[in-house]
Amino acid sequence: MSYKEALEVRHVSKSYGKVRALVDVSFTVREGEYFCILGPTGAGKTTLLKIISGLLKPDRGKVIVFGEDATDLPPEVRNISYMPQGYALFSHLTVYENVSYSQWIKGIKSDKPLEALRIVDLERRKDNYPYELSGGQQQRVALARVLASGSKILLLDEPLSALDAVLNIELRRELRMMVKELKLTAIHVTHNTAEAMSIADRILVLRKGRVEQIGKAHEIYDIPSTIFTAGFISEINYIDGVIVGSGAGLFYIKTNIGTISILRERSHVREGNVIVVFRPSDIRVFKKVTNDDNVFKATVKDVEFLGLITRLHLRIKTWDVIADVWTSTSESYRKNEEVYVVFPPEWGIVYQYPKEGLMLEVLGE
Amino acid sequence: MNEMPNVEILNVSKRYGNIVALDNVSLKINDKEYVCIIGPSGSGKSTLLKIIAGIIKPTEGSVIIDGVRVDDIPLSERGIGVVMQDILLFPNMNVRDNVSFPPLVKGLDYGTVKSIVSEIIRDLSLVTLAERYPDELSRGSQQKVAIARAVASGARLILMDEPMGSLDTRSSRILRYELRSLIKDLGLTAIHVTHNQEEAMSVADRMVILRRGKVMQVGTPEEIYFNPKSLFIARFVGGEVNAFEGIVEEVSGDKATVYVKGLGRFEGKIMEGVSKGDKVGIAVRPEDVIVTESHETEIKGCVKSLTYYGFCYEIDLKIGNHILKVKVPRRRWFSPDIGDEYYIDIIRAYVYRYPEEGLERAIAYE
Repeated sequence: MSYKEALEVRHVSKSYGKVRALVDVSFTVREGEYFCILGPTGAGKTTLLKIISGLLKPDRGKVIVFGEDATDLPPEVRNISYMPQGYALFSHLTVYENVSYSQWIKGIKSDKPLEALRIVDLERRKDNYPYELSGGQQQRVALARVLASGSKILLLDEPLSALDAVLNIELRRELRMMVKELKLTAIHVTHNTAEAMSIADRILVLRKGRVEQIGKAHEIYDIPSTIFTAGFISEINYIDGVIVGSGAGLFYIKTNIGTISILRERSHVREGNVIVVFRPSDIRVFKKVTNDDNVFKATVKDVEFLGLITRLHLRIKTWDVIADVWTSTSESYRKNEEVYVVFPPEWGIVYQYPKEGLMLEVLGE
Repeated sequence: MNEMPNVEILNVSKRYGNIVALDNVSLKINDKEYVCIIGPSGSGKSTLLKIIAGIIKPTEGSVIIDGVRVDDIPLSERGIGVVMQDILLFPNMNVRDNVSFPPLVKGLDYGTVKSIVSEIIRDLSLVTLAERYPDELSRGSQQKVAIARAVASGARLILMDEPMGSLDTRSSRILRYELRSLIKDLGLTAIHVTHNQEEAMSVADRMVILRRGKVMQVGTPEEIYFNPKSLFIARFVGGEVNAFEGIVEEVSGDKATVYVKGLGRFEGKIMEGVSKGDKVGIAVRPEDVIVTESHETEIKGCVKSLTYYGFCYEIDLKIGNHILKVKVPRRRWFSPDIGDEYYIDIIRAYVYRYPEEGLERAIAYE
C-alpha cells in the first residue's frame, strides 16, 4: 500500500537563547492519518506545532506540506489550521459568529461554518453564547471553528485537556471519527498517554526536544525503545543486573533478588550491565508458590484500591515493586500478607544500563 | 481513635440568583481523615471547598472547624493550608526558602523553622531539589513544593483544589501516593477536590460524590465501587458503564435475575427495592464482563471496535441491537480482532428502580 505524505518535518531544530527546544526532529505524517505527539510538559510539543503551522520559524530544517517546501510560507497559505491550547472562544459572539469569524475577517461568505456545526452536532445551538454551553460543547465549537477553515491538516494542541476525565474519553472517539470521515490529517499534542493510545494511528514520543520513538500504540507500549518511553507510558518496576548467560531463547540476568530470565527478543542488548523493566500489569501475584519461571516471595506493604485495578505495593528482599491486579476477578490482599510474585520472561524488557545515570533516564529530571 | 469531627458542614446551601450551586449539604470530616470531594464540573465541589476555606460565604448553613463556628472568621485566621491547581510559588526563592516562608512569617524562630522544613522536604523527597528555583523544576516537583509550603504553615487542615490538575498522568500518579503518605505521616486532615475518580480512590479514606449541588453518596472507595447507590454513581466511578432496561424475573435475597431484551438473562445485585415483574435500570461495568472463546455461555457477541491501552483492551461487542462495552486485561492468549466472536459472562451487575428521567439522563455526566 502506498501513502501520500501530508506533512514532512525534516531535521528541525529550534533554540530559545541557550535552551534547545527542538533538536533535529524528523518525521512524516501520511494523508488521512491521526498522529499524536506525546511527551511531558516542556518537551517541545507546542514549539513543534507552532513551527508546523508557520507561527514560528525553525533555526534549521524544513517543513514540507503535501510535497511542497512550506518553511518560508506564512501560516495563512499553508492549508493548515492550528487550534492552540485553551482554545478561547469569543464570549461576546454567538456560536455561529465564533465559527465563521475567520471567514468574516477575510470577507468570505460560505456554507462551511454551518456545515462544521452540523458535523459537531451543534447546529441547533448556533445562536447561543459560549457561556450557555457545557465544557464539552464549547470544545466542539472550537473544533468546528478549526473545521470551518477548510484546511486539510489540523494541528490540535491539548484539545481535550480542559475536560473532565469522563468527557475526555467520550470526545476522543468523536474527534477521531470526525477526522476520519472528513478525510483530514490530524496532528494532536497531548501529555495524556491513554488519550494518545486510544485516538492515534501512530504516536511520536518527544522528550527534551528530541524524538524518542515513533510507532503504533502497541509498538510503543510493548517494545519501548528507551527506558524513558517505557516509564512515560505507564509506571514501571526496574532493577539493575548483569547478563550472566543465555540458552533456550532466554537471557539470564543476575540481580539483587536473584536470577531473572527474559526472552532474548525482549532485550535491547546481549551482554553487560543492564536494567530489567516490568510493567505493574504484567506481574502476576499468587497466594501459593507456583511452577513458573521467575517466582519470588514478597510481602504486601500497602494495598491501593483504584477501582478497575488494585495496586499492590510489594517488597521482594530490598526491591520495592508495584503490581496491578484486575479488581473484578482478583482475590483480595491484605497489608503484611506474604505472596508469590511471577515475572513472566515474555513481558520483561532489558535495556543497557544508562550512562547518564538511571534517575535521569527514568524520570527525565 | 478520636471521633470528634474536625470539620462539620451543616445544611450548607449556596445560590447565585436562580442557580443552585449547593443544595443543603451536610458532612462530617473526622480528625486526621483524608476526604476527596468528587463530581462532574458544575456539581458544586469547588464551591464547597471555597466555603470551607472561607473564600466565599454560604447563602445558608454553617461550617464548624474543631468545634468552632467559623462563618465569620476569614481564611487567614482559620488555620488552613490551601493548595490550588495553579501553582503559585515565589519565583525568586529556591525550594527551601519557598517552604520556609509561611512559618517564618508566622514568627517562628529560625532554628525551629529549619527543622520543620527539613523534615517536610525529606518526606516529600525534595532533598536533591532543595536549592533549585521553581523554573528549574518539573510541574510535578513545583506542585510538591506548593504542598510542602502549605504543610509548613503549621495548618492541621489542608484544602486542595485539583492539585494534580496541571500534571501529566505519570507525574500525578507518583505525586498522589507521596501526598497521601505525607498527610498520614504528619497526622493532618485533608479535603481534596478532584474530577478524577482514580486519583480520588488512590488518596481518599472516604469519598464524597456530588452531583447538581447535592451529596449523592459518601463512603470508602471500596464501598462506593462495590455498592454504587445510583446508576449515575455506577457510571461515574469507573468512567463508563453499560446501562440497560430490563425486567426482574426472580428475586432471591439481595439478588435479582433480570432479563434484558436482545441480550439475555443474568444476575444482579439489588440496590433499590424492586420486585418480580418490575421494569428496572441495570448497570454493568465493562470490567465485570468476562470474555471467553472456549467456555459456552448464553450470550455471544461480535467485536465491533477495539482500543488497546497496553494493560487492557477496551472492546465494543455487538450483541443483537446492543453494544456491550467490555474491558479485558492483557493476557498471553488473548489477541482480539474486529469481527471475532466471543462468549461472555456478566459476573457483576447492579439493579435499580427504572429512573423516571430515563436511562440516558440518569447517567448523564452533569
